Formats: sequence, C-alpha cells, structure tokens
Amino acid sequence: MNPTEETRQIIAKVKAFISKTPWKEAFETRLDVLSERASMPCELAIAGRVKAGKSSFLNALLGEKLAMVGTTETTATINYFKYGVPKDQEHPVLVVWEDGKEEWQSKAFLDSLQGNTREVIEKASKIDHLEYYVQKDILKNVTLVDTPGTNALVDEHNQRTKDFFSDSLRQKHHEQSIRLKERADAVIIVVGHVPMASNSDIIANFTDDTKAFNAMGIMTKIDNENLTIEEWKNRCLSYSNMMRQHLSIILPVSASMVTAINSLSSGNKLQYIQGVVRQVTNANDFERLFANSTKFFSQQSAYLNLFNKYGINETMRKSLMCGITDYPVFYRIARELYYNSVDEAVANIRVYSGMQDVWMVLNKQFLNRSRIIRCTSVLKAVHAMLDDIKNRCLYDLRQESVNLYAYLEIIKAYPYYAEVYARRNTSQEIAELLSNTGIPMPYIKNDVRRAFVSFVKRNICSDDECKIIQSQLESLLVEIEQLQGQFTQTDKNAEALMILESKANLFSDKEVEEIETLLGKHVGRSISDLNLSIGERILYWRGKRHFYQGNIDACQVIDTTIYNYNLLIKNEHEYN
Amino acid sequence: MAKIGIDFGTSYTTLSRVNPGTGSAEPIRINGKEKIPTMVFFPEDGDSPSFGEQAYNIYRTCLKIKDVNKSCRLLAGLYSDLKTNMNPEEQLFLPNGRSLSYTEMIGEFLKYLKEEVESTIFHGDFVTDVCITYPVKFEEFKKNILRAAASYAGFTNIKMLMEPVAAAMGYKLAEEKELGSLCRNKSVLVYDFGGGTFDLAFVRFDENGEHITLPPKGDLHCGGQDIDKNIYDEWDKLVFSETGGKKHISDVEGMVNAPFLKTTCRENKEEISEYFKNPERSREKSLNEDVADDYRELNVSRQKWEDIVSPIIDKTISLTIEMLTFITEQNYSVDKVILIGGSSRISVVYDKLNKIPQIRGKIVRVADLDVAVANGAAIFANQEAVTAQKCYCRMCGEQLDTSMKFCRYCGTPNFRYDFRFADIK
Repeated sequence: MNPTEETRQIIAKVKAFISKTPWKEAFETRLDVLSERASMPCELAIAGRVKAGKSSFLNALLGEKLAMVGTTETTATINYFKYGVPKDQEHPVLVVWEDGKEEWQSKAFLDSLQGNTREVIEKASKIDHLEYYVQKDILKNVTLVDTPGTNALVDEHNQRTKDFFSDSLRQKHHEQSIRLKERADAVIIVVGHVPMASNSDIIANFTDDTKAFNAMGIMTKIDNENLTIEEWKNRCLSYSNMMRQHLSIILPVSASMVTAINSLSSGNKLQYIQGVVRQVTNANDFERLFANSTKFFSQQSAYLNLFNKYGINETMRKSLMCGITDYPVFYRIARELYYNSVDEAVANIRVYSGMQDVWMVLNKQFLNRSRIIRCTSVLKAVHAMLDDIKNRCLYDLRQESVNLYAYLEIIKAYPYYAEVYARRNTSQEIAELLSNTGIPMPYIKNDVRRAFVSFVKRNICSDDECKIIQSQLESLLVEIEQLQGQFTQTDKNAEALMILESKANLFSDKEVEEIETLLGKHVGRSISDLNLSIGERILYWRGKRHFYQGNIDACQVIDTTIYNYNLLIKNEHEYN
Repeated sequence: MAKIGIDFGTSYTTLSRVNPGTGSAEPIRINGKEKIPTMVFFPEDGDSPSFGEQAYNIYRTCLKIKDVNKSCRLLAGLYSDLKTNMNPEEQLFLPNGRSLSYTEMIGEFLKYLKEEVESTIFHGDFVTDVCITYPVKFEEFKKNILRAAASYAGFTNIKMLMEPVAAAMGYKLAEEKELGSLCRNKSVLVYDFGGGTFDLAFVRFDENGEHITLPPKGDLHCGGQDIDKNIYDEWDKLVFSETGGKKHISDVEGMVNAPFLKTTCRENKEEISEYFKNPERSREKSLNEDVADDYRELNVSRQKWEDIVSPIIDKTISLTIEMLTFITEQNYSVDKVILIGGSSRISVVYDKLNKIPQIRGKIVRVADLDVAVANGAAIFANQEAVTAQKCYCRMCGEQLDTSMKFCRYCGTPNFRYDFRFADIK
C-alpha cells in the first residue's frame, strides 16, 4: 500500500467532484495545496517556552551548529530545516520575506539577527521564515521546524524590552505558532529541566488537536542538576504520567553534552583531558578540586597549593576546558574520563546525554510512520473541508434552490425590478452583458431580463441537483473514512506495541507475548503458533476490558487486540 | 403506524413519542425507566440475549462474585460500547461461538426496543417510523450502520437527525407554544454533557428550519463516567487508609473493580448530586456501602464534591469559552444556552456556566434533561403527520384550517395556527 498515492487519488476524485459544483473557485486551490502536501515530507515542529533550549536540542539532533544559540531570546524567526544542498556555500540560508520574496543570505546576515535591540527586532519582524538546507538522512522524510517561543508565556524580564516592535513581533510569532500548530504533523515539546505548571498550558495548547501519540516531550538542560540518568528518567516518567493525555513520552536530554562530546572527539582532546585529570592521583582530592567551578578556578591558597601539588597550574586549568563553556558539562566529562577509559567514557556520556533514546523513539514514532502521519493529516483536512461543504455550503445552495422559482416568478412579473436588481448587485457577467450590447438603456429591458433569467438558472441548482450533490458528497466521505480507517489501523497496531513497550507492568509476560505476536512484532511468527483458541482469547480480553475502565493505555491495547482477533475470525469464516 | 424518536446514546438510549392527546412529546418508559442502558448481553450457554436494564444487571450479579476470573468470564458477553466502536468490517465474536456484525448487534437492540414499545405503549400497533439521532461529528459509515440496523430491526421509514438539532427543536417548539409566536432568526448553543461524551453545537433557526452553521466542539472522553471514576478513587483511598495500606477495592493491581464502579459509584453520584442541589445544605453527605468485605462510610462535604467534579466540568467550561469566542469572531451571537444530558443536572455545571459573562442569565435547563434529544426526534418523526383541522376566523367567521397563519379573507392572525406546520419541509 502506498499511502501517498492513495491519498492523492482520493483528492483527485474530490477535485473532479468539486469542479462540477458551484464551489469550484472556493476550494479547488486548497485541494491542489493539499494534494501537494501529501507528497511533501512530514513536518515535525519543535515547540516550547522562550529559552527552554529548543535550538540547542535541534543542533544536537542535526549534529551541526545551525540554529543560533544564545542567552537572550534567540530564535527571532521561524526556521525550517530541509533536506538539500545550498546553492552557494557562502550564502547558506534562504530568507523568505513577508512579502514573499526569497533570497540567499550569508552567515553575517544571521549574526545581525542576534540580540534584542530595536533594529534587530524591526528586521526580524519583516522575515516570514528562514530555510536551512542540510544533508542529513533524517531530513529526507521529515522537515524540522524550529518555532520561536510562544508568547503565551512571556518571561517577566522580557517585559522590559517591551516596545512596539517586540510586541508586534511576538504577536506575529504567536499567530505563526498557531498556524504551525494547525499544520504540523507531529510535535516535539521542549520543557525545561524543572517542570512548571506553565509548561502544561503550553503542552495542552500545542497538542490539543494532534494525537498524544504524535507528540513527545524533551526535558532539556539536564546537565544543570547533578542527578543520575535513572533519576532523570524517573522524574520524566512521573511528569509524563501527569501529561499523558497530551504527550506519549518525555525523555531527558543534555544537548550541550552532545555538542561538547562531538567537539572533543576530534583531535586528541579527550586523551589530553584524561592525562591532566589523572595527574590527581588521590580520588578524594579530585572530587574536592573539580566538584564545582568556584573551586576549580579558586584563587584561595588551599586549593592553589593542592593544584600545584599535582602539577596543574592556572593556564593549564584554563586550557583544560577546551572551549566548553558549561562547567557542569565539563565536570561530568572529566569525571567519566578520570574513572574510565576514553572509549568507555564517551559511551557513558552518550548514554547520559539521552540522544540515543531520542533517536530510537523518533525513529519508531515519527520517521517510520512519517508518510502515514502526513497522509492522515491531509485526509483529515479534506474530510473537514467536505464536512464544511455538506453542513454549510450545501445548506445555502438548498436554500437558494427553494428560492429559484420565486426569483424566476419575480423576474417575469416585474421586469423593471429585475433590471434594477441586476444593476445594484452587479454581478460581473451581467455588467459585461450590459456594456457589450451597446443598446441604449431604455431598449434593453427584455435582454436584461433574459440574461438575468439565464444567470439565475445557471448559478442556482435545482432541488434534484442538490440531492445528487449530497449523495456524491456522502459517498466521497465514506471513501475517505475507509482510507482513514486503513491508515489508523496500521497506526493503532504500532501505537499498541509502543504502549506495551513503555508500560511494561500493564500485563503479564505471557499476555504481552500474545499481543506482540498478534500485532506482528515478531517476524516469522504468527498467532497460530501459540496454539490459542481465538474465541477463548477474545472472550478473555473482552471480560478484562471491563476491569480497565479509566486506564486509557490498557483500553487502547485491549481494543486493538480484540479488533485484530475479530478480523482473524472473520477471515476464517470467509475462507471456509 | 406509530412513530417514535430514538436517542441512541453511548451509555443510555432514550425513547420518545408524540402523545396524540396532548400533542407534545413525552418519554417512553420501559420497565418504568426512561433511560435504557445501551447494552446487550449474550450468555455463554447460547440462550437468547438480554438487553437494556437486564443486561446492565450483569454488573450487579458480578458484584456478588468474588472471583475476578469468573466475573471477567461473565462480563465478556456484555457489549456496552456499541456506539463508539461500531465499524463496518468487524464481526463481533459471541460467547456461544457465533458472530454478529455491528449492524446486526445494534439491530437486535433496536428490535428489542421496538417490540417493548409496541406491546406496552401502542398496544400491538406496529411502529414503522423512527427518527434516530446522531452526534454532529459522526462518521458517515457509522450513520450507514445505524440506518441499516434500524431497517434490520423492522422500521420501514427511517429518518436521521443530528442530536443538538433535535434538542434545539424540542426546545423551540416548547418556547413557541408558550409565547404563541414564531421563534425565528435566533441561535442557541446546545451544551450536551452526557454519560460518556461532551458536545457543543451552535444551532440557528431561520425560515428553513434549524441547522448547524459552525463546526461543533466536543470531548470524546469527558462525561459522567469520569465522575464515577473519581468517586471510585475516593472509595479506594478510604479502603486503602482504613486497611492500613493493605487493600484496594480491586484485588488485582492496575485493574478497577468494574461492577462496583458501574453500579455503586454511579448511584452514589446521582445521590450526592441530588443532595447538593439544594444550596442551603451544608452538612456532609454520608454514603454507606459494602466495600472490600466490610461496611464502610464515606463522607462527602460540599467542598469535596466540587473537587470531585471540577476537573471534568472545567474541561467543558473551557471548551464552552473557546466556542463562545469563536462564535463572536464569526459575527454571531448566542440567544440561549440549552443544557441537556444527564450530567448537566449537577448544579456545579449551572453555577460555573453562569459565571461566563457572555451567557449569564441565558442558560436554560430543559425539563427532561435526559430525553430532550429523543423528544426532538419524536417531533421530527411526527412532523408529516400533522394534519390541518377546520377552524374559523374570529373576526369575519370564514372557514379556515390550522395550517394558515392568517385569515385569507381579512388578514387577521389565526390564533388556532399550528406551529408544527412551520417545520414541515
């Protein structure tokens, strides 16, 4: 099954239908856009509060320093990351201005967008978005969108810079974020390392339309607190249980750790750090000296003497950090290097940074399903459009059709009114007719009347035509729903498997194995190998379903299981 | 040739008919109850299925069975979420080894309703016409299943109507009767807070009847069931603390005691809600139940009750505010807000809605909250049956009939005019 092709086919059908109805102009372009969207890569938006660490996370994800990272409100524009090569290495960024113009710009231009001054804000408010082209495999199926922090939650200290431009810019960002929210297929929400009540607002706000399964959370800046990865994971788990209606999972990530380890891996920097650090032969002294930055850079004689004892002078200490700006990050790396070999240390830090987990979840939840996600959202839009036609436009049409005969009667009875009406509500065609005839005004009454009658007849459907349109609409809706059903079913199986994996204690091991086999997780094994009576199992799960009320996860898994079993039974019947 | 309206709900189904004596819609009671649980139970021994209240009573039977596996086995034959899960491809497997499609399953349920109604209310007269309601956001295929199920049940003339439209229609007719004038160019917001779902719809009346102009809003998992679950959690806390942290209501970890939730907690909810309806009651409501092998007492103060219901009601309130802003953006205004659905009986709902400035003082609680939709459906099913009757002009004495709004000779308004004619299309 090729979801893109099927979606496009159905859109073509809808288009063929629309072109025969009076709403041709209103909807045709939108259908074209949707049809194009079906084959474009799926959009993954990265959202979060101002300064939650969105850009750092993005850099860690792409492994390149693209989005600018700074301490002020950095991302003043929306950034798109797409697959491709920039035309000119000197001008790597495509700037799309608000008026639709596009131009390639250099790095210097980006630097001029840094900061919070009036000029910068003025400039940024004229930009619609920036496009970066990167050759990363992840971008082949997914376009990443880096959003500016939502304005719903402006920090108090940001209020200081409040003036006209920043206000309008923020307003614009807010609008853009809302627009993004409507079209993004999946969302990564970046929450700070300290869960805050305001976060849940943002999450609820950004994910109310998308399915929870299509939204994941990232807890950034976890290097700021000295906790082990297990402690972070527990914190994330309790937080994600709170947010489970909106987010499928929250993962801890240290973006700066990833960038640090990437930059250190080149050259022999790691070996150098290890060499220096291991000069401190006493482990207790190492903990004392390196534990925090005040001690490390201390000018107190006690510490200075201790450092000198192990032969580490001040210049060495400064060069030791190798350009890492965050001390906690450096400390963690140094500590790993102190106790472990270089390879082990790198592996440990990569685990701690959490990026591997992120990749795993990203692959499973988004990248493998990206086509389905995109097609489902396109189909949803088409369905909503047809619904709108059915509920609103068709109603208007029918109302007019009721009036059709009344109009014609009026025209027949009062030719003069018809003319006045035609002139007052000058529809384009009648106006042209009037000017083209060239007949002096007093003599055209009959012509106008005839023209008006034909105009009314052409533009108003009769009652029968309305009925035909309605039945066509309904059959199209059914077709779309069938396709949606197919997509969601493949999706639901994947979703159930994900839930099983993340919530291990939901069912017993035997039950988990049964469900996983049924949903096709183990390649080459089918449910018939387990020697279960399908009927018995259906009844077992149906009974169990009643006892899991209020537990959305469990219900979802059980529903999917029962559905799959029912399908098996149905196929068996048909086979016999 | 009788006609009825059916509101096929997620947890309850209600029926209504137009009383030929009074001319207004009234609920039909089956076994003395207007709310019939939308449930079908198939016993394992292949006996004929039971429906509605009888099927619901399986939960009560299970309450006495202490073995979870046994009650699991029994409940396997209980089909309760027909409306949300219906699907054209699926075949439902039954405990007796057969299987039914959703059309047949719902058809059986409707057939049961039809036969009950025919034997009790209409005294053997066949019910041929039916109007079934459906939510605004209801997939087309589900509608087809519902229609097919109705014809499976033996209805010959089947009409479909949207739930909020039906509710608004019932309200409109009652209003018109009271005022004696037509209700036109008005718009109402229908707040439907039922057992399983919450729906908001904006309905406008004009010359051509009622219709939905704006996309509706709603929440699929927000309703009375969630309140039941919160009460269950309160009981669970009580049991846990009284046994010193050794016991839960349910014997198996991670599972809930479904029979207890479905019977006791649901009744508790209705009791407390009724108790706190009177704003002067300040004392705690004490509940005595047999929970976890012992008689226990749970005291619910007004504050605690509000804590229990608020999380769920607040969701509906915020959706209502969103909807209202959307309505204002589209240059419409709301004349009335109609509360329907069993859960909107809770007084907190009214109080909270009344705090929204745009709709303060415009909130109407319909008399039959549970059956408002079915009433509208019954009216719709009967619309064509309205026949004109002879009457005379009070000014000039000429003969007229009740379908005429004005006297055709002298133009005086006809005070015997039947407003139902306005709705015949």
